[in-house]
Amino acid sequence: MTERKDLHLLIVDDEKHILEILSLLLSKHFTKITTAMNGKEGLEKITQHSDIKCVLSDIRMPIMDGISFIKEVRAKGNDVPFIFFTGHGTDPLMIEATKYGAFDFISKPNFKSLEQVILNATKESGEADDLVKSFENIKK
Amino acid sequence: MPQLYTICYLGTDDVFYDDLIKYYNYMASVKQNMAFDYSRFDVTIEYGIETFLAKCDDTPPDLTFIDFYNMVEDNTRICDISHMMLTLKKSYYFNTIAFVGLFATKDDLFKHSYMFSYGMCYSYIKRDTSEGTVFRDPAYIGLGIGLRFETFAVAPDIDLFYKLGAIASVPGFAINAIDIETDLSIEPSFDMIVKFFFFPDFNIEKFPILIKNHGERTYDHVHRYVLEIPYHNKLKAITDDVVPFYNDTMDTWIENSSLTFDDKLETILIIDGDELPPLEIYKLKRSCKYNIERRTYVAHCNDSIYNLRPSIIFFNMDDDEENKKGKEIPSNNTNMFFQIINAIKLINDYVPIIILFNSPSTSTALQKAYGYTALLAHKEHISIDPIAMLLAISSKKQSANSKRKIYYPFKLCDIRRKALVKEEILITSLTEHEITFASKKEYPCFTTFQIDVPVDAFITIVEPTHELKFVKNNFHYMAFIHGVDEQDLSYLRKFVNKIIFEPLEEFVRIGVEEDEEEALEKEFELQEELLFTPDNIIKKEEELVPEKEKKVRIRKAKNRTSSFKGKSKL
Repeated sequence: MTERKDLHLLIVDDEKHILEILSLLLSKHFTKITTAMNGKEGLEKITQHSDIKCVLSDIRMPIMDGISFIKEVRAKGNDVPFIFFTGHGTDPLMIEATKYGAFDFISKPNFKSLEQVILNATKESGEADDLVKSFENIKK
Repeated sequence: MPQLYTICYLGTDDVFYDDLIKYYNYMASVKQNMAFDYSRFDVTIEYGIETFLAKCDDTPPDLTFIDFYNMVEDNTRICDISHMMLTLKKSYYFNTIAFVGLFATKDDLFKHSYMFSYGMCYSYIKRDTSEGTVFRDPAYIGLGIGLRFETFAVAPDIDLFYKLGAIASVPGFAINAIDIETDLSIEPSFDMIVKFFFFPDFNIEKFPILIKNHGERTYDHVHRYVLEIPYHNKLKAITDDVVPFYNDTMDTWIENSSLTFDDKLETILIIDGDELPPLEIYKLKRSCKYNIERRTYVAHCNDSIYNLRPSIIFFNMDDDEENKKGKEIPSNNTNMFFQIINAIKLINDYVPIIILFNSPSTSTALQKAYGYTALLAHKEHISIDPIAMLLAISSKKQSANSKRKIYYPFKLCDIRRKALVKEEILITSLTEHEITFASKKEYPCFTTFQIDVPVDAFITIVEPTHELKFVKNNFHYMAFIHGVDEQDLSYLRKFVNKIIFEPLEEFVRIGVEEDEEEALEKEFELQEELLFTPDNIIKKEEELVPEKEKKVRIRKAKNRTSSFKGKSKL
């Protein structure tokens, strides 16, 4: 069994079974998982736990949706990476989310690559290097 | 608080600069409600143009005199200045700058008269003593201000038809068609009559219009056309009304001249909300191998994506804060960016790379959100360094010859790019300073034409300085005459004076006698020298030119709308 990464994740979704599945899946790879049922709860959790390194959030939720959630987090000066869950295809709210700094979008229930996406979100990398490398890859 | 105008002089002539300051200081002393600030730059030295552009970013000048006196043989410098003018003219915030060209000789002016397409609105042949017109007329054209215009001898009621040529510019051509930009509006159902200067044997002048306003305007003109080259079919007989021109003549010329055309690679589009200083844009244009097109806002793109097909688009996203302040300026927000992506998706087989600056999201997130894979994000605001770096990477992968076989662009300082769109007008009156004419067509204010009667010169349509008579079913225009030397001026005076008493039957050059001039000049008061008198020789108070600021400043909108007319029919 691979060693678990020492990372605190926050998972926010109004569907309880999604929270359970993801908690089970990701607890094999990461040391600490916190969950919340909507954006308002998620905001409370982030305030309580300053060591949260990555947020996985649904976009459409009652009480406080994913867009309002990330907006509030950013307003507090917190640039923690956000990975959003989406339904099939593109959601107009995805564009709205990019205004506040979305790291990635994962379609439910394709959680296979989620571990790697989380690791990418939490590692430090040079923006300029990424831009040049990405540009060179596209030009090929 | 007096209105402050900034005037720049790009040159090294101390005497001219002193005269400039004296004149405008005098104007300020008469008008009271205006003040002038002066700057001077030597653009013949290294970084001279860059220094001027840095100044523009800080305090954009209202009027700029460019002294080509000792520059005309330096083609590199002329190209640099052309690039500088266009960089400013294509900018939302700087295109209000009025440029005046100063030349040593008429030959120099005519050789570089393509500069009227880059924003030059007035020209002057320098003399030992600067005449007031070189300062007064540009102030009227560029700033909408001035002192009272003196009374010249007027040849009224001329009412003769005359063909003149509207200045036009040719971005480039293909084997069967020519791109041309001009201020004139001509319906595609009509042919365009144009004099081109490609090579001596290019003698056709009548061209069917294939498309009007199909693409982006590259220069300081209102309309862009594609004209068909009407090659003569060798199987057809040559009639009297046909000027035969064969496609193998064109082929031969293209083949022999291939190395003289511009060798820019593809087009790059920058949409930056004017965040990039003009200096940086200028340096990028001069240094990179791409054709750089810059648009300030998406709202100004007007089908840029479809027409230009840029291979790379650099887009700077507005900060949310700016939009929240409720400024009444266009914006480059997510909605506008979405429009760009949608426009791209509508074009078949077209997938440009888009670099989105000032994006807090990752490239992956953006690609999924917008459903577009060739989209890269950069967290920082747009700047030249990453653009230059990416273009350098891109240009290494591209062949410079890929476009040459289809389209042949002219270099910016290639005199062959100049063209004259022929128009027939009705001359109504003439002085040595201005000409009035009528036409059924509408011409934008500040359209420049080339004339050869009474002298070889240029005229630029201005807001009339006095009421023009009604000409039924016509628009009536006034235009300042410029680009004349002392000999021309002398001949003009004689010409006007003669035709007052001996009206012409056709508007052509005529012979004038020396002694006639002396006799006639006594009857007319020439007040021009009196006006330019820092020592206050004038005893009467000057009447002020009626405030035309609002109307003349529509000049600034020449590029943004083609709806402005010259003087409307009364």
